[in-house]
Amino acid sequence: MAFLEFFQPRAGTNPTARQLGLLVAALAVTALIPLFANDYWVRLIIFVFLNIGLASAWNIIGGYAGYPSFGHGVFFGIGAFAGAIGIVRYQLPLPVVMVLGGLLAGVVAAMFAPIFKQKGLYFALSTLALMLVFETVFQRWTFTRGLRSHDLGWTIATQITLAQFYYIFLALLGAVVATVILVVNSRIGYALQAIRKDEILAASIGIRTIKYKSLAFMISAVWPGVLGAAFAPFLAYVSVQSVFEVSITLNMILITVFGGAGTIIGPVIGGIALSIIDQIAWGSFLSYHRLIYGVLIVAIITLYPGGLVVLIQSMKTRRHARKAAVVNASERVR
Amino acid sequence: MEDVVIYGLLRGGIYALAAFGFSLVLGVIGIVNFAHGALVVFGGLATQYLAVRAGMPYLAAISGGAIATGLLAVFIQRAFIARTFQLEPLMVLVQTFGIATVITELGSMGWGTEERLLRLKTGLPPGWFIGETFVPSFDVVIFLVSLVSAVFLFLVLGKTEFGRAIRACSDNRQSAQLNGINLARTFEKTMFVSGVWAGLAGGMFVTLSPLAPYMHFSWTIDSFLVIIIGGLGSMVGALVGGLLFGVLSFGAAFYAPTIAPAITFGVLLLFLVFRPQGLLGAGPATRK
Repeated sequence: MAFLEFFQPRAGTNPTARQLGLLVAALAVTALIPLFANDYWVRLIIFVFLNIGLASAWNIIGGYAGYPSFGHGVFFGIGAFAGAIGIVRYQLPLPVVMVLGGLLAGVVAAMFAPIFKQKGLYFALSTLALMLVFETVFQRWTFTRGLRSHDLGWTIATQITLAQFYYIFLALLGAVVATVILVVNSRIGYALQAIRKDEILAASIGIRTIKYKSLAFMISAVWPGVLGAAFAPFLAYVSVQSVFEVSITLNMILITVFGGAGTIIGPVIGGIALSIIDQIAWGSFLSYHRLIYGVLIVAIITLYPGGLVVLIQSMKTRRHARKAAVVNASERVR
Repeated sequence: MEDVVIYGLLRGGIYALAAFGFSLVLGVIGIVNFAHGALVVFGGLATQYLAVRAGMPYLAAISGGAIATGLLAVFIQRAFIARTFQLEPLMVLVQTFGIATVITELGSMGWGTEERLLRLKTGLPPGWFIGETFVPSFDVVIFLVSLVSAVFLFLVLGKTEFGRAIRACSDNRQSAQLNGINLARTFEKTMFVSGVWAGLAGGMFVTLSPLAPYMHFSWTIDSFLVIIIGGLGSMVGALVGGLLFGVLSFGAAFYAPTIAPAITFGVLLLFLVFRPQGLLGAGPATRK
């Protein structure tokens, strides 16, 4: 299994280069999908890309640094509003608003660096509070509420086709995962893992924890901003109800934890697995949809707290152990 | 002004009841139980069900509802949280959130998604005037009952052997175990107490205002807010925090209904940044 490289890089090789190579190969294969899939599936896969991208970005602060942000949807919302306002009010092209959305999200994240005085659960609640405050501001402020004073959202007409959106989001997903790979294999990544394991110890050996935490928070805020700005024209109608949903944040967390928090491949596996489950549940057991979701989350964390990544790994080691046992038995017979 | 304060305080008694269990579990087991709000709603709906469908008198119904909630909490602890409470806090957060979803969905299937209210006849006069403000008698009764049950909880924690074991586990787990305290049993008892008080809060709230399964998350958040204001690890703090939060949320909803959540959470952010240990918290915030 090639993807095991992501969490157990072979000794003597450069992990960054190998992982980036695998990423490019995976993206190249995925790029062929629109050639033989119909519009429904392309649309669905764009949503999957978006979810995986958001979860991967969340993983930097929530998975690697161990600071679960419960208000990360705020950066997505800021990006989406930047996209909508930029395109409709100022007629800016999409790439410009994407950059703007990312910058704005990064600046807001930097503004709220003081909440890093909080730890763990207090941090989670601070970020949740941050999101609710922003949601109210965006809903009440006439500049962000809509083009006319009585509007409650932004309607965006776009020339971009579905296939173009597919490649935009594929490229963005690749960029997010590449960022994660680069961050994780750098000094920042090592510092973050040390902070998650024991922050006081990390600080005592000279890691500047506040600096690295703020840096990680900003990196993981910029990408949801960019994704949000690109998502605005795809959604065609942007309002506080659609982009400041609590479920966007919850999805980032669930996908990451389901796949495996603190691993590069975790959010990707989690996003794909939960999307497949989602499709089956919507199609066949509509009224049990949320129940199935909840049961799966509880089951994976109770039995395999490391997520699907650990489940796959343990299956692999068990198979190795069984093979070894067979070899042992045959040797004994001889 | 004074009417807002009085109504806020009356509502605050129930918030304090809901927050006791939340604070206890956070202090002793060291986890944030995102299923706590689901327990509150479960207790309320169980009380309503026992009173309306099974025709029990209110006192029997609320006792039954509270004990059922306590048992549900013990089941959650034994089957799920006992395996994960030593991991990173994020894991338990997501796990208990999943549990809350499951309870809510099962509750919606069994009880339906509509809001339910339990009307009681007490035989008391409809209410009294304090100054200009009309105070319904039933709200006062509920407020007094919540104070009495709070005192009872203080006595249990302060004076009994069981309370001593709980406090020992919250102070230092290893020393408690070395002194012969069974950690797993104590945690289960803690969850039982937490669930019983959550059920009481739900059972009382359902007589004042409607409850439905989907409301569970706002109860969890409200309990957390009460703890942040009052301070972690202090039962008096939870009581004071509950009363203050009642006034704050009622005042925000009264004077600025459209931005009420932003005001409540804005105050919370100020608390978290400037006084993270709360009003009556025991020392600085924990290391977790």
